[in-house]
Amino acid sequence: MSDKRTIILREGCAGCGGEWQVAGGQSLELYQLCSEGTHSVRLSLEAGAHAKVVFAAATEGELSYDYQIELCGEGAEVELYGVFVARGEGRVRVHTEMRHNAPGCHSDQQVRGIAGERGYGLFDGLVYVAPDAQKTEAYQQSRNVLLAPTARIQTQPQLEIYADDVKCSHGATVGQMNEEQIYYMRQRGLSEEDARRLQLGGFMQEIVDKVTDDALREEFERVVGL
Amino acid sequence: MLKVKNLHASVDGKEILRGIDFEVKAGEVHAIMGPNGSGKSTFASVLAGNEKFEVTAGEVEYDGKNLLEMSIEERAREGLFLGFQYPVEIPGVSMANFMKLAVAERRKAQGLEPLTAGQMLKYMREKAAVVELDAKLMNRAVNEGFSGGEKKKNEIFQMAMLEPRLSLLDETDSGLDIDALRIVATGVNKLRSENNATVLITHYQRLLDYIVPDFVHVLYKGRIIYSGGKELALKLEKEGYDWLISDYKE
Ligand SMILES: Nc1ncnc2c1ncn2[C@@H]1O[C@H](COP(=O)(O)OP(=O)(O)OP(=O)(O)O)[C@@H](O)[C@H]1O
Ligand SMILES: [Mg+2]
Repeated sequence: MSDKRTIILREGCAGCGGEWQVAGGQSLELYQLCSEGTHSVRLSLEAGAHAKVVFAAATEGELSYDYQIELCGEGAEVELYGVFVARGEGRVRVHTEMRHNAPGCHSDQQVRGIAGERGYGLFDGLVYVAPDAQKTEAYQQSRNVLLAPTARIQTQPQLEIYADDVKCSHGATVGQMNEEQIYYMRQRGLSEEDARRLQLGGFMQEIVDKVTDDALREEFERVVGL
Repeated sequence: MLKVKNLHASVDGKEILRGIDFEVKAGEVHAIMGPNGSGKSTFASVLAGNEKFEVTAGEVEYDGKNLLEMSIEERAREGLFLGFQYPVEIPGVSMANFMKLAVAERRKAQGLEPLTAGQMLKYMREKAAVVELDAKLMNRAVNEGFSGGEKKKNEIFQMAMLEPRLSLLDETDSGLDIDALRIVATGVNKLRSENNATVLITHYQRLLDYIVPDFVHVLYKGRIIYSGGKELALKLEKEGYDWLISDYKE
């Protein structure tokens, strides 16, 4: 039986964060729902450990999430999923460092951003694979949608790979809403407003659905306005 | 029901529809055939109100109203349905949720009471059965991960849910195996009535074996260059378009 810990960092804890070690065979789930301040999370995983991080944020203020994750033992696994919404003059910065220091580890990152009005978002994510971290699998995806011409999102994926037998991929997109989808929904009678709301909701829902606990998922949905 | 007069439409300054005349009455089934790139999908898109295309001349009357002045959703709510040649995937949006909103809008336009959650579920199951679509797909995102055949069945399922007056089905038969074709065609036939009409865009006579059209039209280079009865489709299947096209002077 693996040992499972759940940590929830809620809004209101300005400057919260912390450092956790996950021992072999253990599993840590960390959920973060903050809307302001600077939050820094450090995780280190021993061999065979598992960690899952899901964050959501919607803000008109300043918010910074910082994740430093170290995979120190063979076969450790990390999933990191997040969605942020920057509205008004809101500024969101998400920084991740996924350090594969041991062989055979697996990491998956999916971060989605939405910026409206004069909102600004930055995703900068480093995937580092040490020379002896063979058989690493590391995936990173950053997808972003701008709702207004004055909104801005920058995405800066970085890969530093020093091992040769690895599977790594990363992808980054910044775009507008998908007009084909909007047209399809309107053709079925939905108002343009409903169609846009549904599509944007769907974009966020895919991340929010990573939260398996019903009550907690509803809290996530409230935070991003689903 | 639908009267199209001298319809011209362009995309990016390039004229694609070059004077279409077309009329559909309630109870009728029309088939539109024609070589690739002749403007069939464009015609359907313009009728649906796709904003990518600019109507540069002509008139379209739908149930006595000026169709070209109506928004995409107004047309849909008034019973104009387009079955897409390439149905769009909408990640994160469940079929059930999508249909709930679509049916509510259509019923409002028809002056009908909204359905309760229970009625909606039952209605959805009933209509899914019409096209033998697995009801489990209702919990999945719209068209996401659906097979080619499931996507096409899903279009006819949505048509059944919305009870349209005028259905434009753009190559709903393409990519279907013979069983799926029969199921889809049977579905369309079940939905036929004196009060509605269907326009089938197709490349294949075999669809018209199942759904027998009253008229067959050939669209070529943005114009309907020939119209006939159901036997025209048979002739086209055997002889292709050459005999028509070589006669046709631009
Ligand atoms: N968005 C667009 N931009 C530029 N050209 C377009 C666009 N949409 C359609 N066209 C062009 O218009 C013409 C007609 O296309 P359309 O899709 O209507 O043909 P079709 O008759 O449906 O063909 P098919 O049988 O292959 O489905 C083609 O030459 C096509 O390239
Ligand atoms: Mg076409």
